[in-house]
Amino acid sequence: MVRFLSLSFLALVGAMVLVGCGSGAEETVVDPNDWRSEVDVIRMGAKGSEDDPATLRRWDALEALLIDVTGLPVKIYEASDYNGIIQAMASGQIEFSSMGAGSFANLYSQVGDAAIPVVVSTDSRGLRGYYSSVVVRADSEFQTLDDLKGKSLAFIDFNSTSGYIYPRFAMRAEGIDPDTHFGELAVAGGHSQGMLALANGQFDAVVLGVSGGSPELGFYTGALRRMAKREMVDLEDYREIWFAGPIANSPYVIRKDLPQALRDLIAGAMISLAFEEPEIFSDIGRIPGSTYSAVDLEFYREILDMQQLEIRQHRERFVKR
Amino acid sequence: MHRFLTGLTFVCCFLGVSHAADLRIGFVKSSHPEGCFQQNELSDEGAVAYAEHLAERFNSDLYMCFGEQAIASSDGTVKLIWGAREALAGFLDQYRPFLTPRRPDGLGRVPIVVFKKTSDPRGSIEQFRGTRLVLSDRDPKALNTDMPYDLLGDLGFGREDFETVWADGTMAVVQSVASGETDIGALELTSWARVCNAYISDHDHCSQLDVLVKSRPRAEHGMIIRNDSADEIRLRMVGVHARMHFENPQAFLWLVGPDAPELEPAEAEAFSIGLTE
Repeated sequence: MVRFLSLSFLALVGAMVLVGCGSGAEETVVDPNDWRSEVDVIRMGAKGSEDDPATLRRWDALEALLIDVTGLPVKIYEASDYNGIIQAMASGQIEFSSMGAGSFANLYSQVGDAAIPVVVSTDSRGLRGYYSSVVVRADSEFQTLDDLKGKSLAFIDFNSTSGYIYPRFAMRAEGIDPDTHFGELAVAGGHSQGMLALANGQFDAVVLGVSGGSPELGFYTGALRRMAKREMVDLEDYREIWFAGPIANSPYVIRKDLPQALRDLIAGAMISLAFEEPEIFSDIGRIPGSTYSAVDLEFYREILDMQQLEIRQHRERFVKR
Repeated sequence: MHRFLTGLTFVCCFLGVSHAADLRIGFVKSSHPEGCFQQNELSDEGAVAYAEHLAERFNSDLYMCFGEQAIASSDGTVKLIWGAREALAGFLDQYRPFLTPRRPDGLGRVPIVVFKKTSDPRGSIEQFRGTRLVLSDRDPKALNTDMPYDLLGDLGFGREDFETVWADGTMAVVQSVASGETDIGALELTSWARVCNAYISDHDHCSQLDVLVKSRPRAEHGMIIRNDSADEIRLRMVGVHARMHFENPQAFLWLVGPDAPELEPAEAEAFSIGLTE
């Protein structure tokens, strides 16, 4: 029924368009290839941010914009964890979503190029990366990863790029095997859960993502800074002792079975946000001075390779047992 | 709904007809012979690649109109025009900018914040001509030095109009103005936000500062689109052009040249920053 009504509506609109187009005998029939006849609704995935209660309001602003520019209903499905977004995209329940590079690597391993990265955040220096950090309490004696030998460390989520995949790779590159170096490993379930676990003394250190800067410049945001801004923690009570990166920024990923014109439109709307709709760009948590830019699969090659390596190592460990 | 109908009307007028509609793109200051040419009349392989790319994406018969005369005589049917800002100035009553190349070093047109001490009674940047300007001397110089000067140039100031003082990094720039050591400072927006949103209780420098100007520097080259084009068409054009360096490098190279790495959007005022104040 919905499809029938939308087609009827388009036919009516088409008739109105004939009047709107004015003269010209050749301008008489609406293009049958118009992409709106192929799409009823745009379903977008969004991962909630547990340390930021304004998340839903933020997605509402983007939802309204996409409704405006596409003329289609837009539904935003918020998932509480990384895997929810991955599986919804893989199974075709959503067509478009932001996700971490590691989540995209996981998705790619399931569906190949049926879903592709189209847009990524670019900072004011033209760079498209962020960092992992290892955070300890400021009153602890830990200054380096070596100091954490035999101690407890919380990662974030098996699908988290900055909170699991990349730092494990970077630690190994520095000669530290995270599976043997630390005395206890866990996954906290989210960046702010990890931060709270550190604050409560459950772990000696936690791995967190940080962005909007560099170890040399300092950073603009990340779970620690967001929670400090909300006065949930005091920034001065914590110390970042290790950084790894830059990590490829999180892409917006879109399913290729959407019409090309709609993919172009969504990409164009997202890339234009910082220039045309700076308030919405800010509302969805983007760093002032940054933009969205086009991105392709090759940009994520390093993460794709890391994820494959991680899977192989898991298998090898399983076989040895 | 009204906006949707209006947009769809334009879309259909622009593209959606029984056979493929014409899409005409103009190029000013081109070395190509003057006139409008259908895509199958083009000989340059890059031009053909560009024409075919857009014709396929917009289901249109593509015409390219080279030279101001050819564009002007097309009676408003040229939807997009590519060229330098100065060459496009005569068209800006009916067109607006929407695309511009990123710089060869990969930098875009980053917003610049020019600020003064709150207690300074001077309210406009013009009143600071001849005073002390503090900039960061950190790399990248193109971002921390050139772009602030570019914006000030757009606003009518030469480098000689200020006594430039160099500071070692963003915090030092802010502190210089807050302490009264210098009169105004200029920072790219991310650096400004990083300092002014610092979540440490004793970082209150920005509470003593007022923003005089926050703007991107003017774009010097790019593409303009007719003001009566639907938002949908403009945004699809952004989507197609912003990905062209990945999807069709030959077409991108022909349009943009070898120096710029990619195209990014431009706001409607991108060519006129500073010119209307």
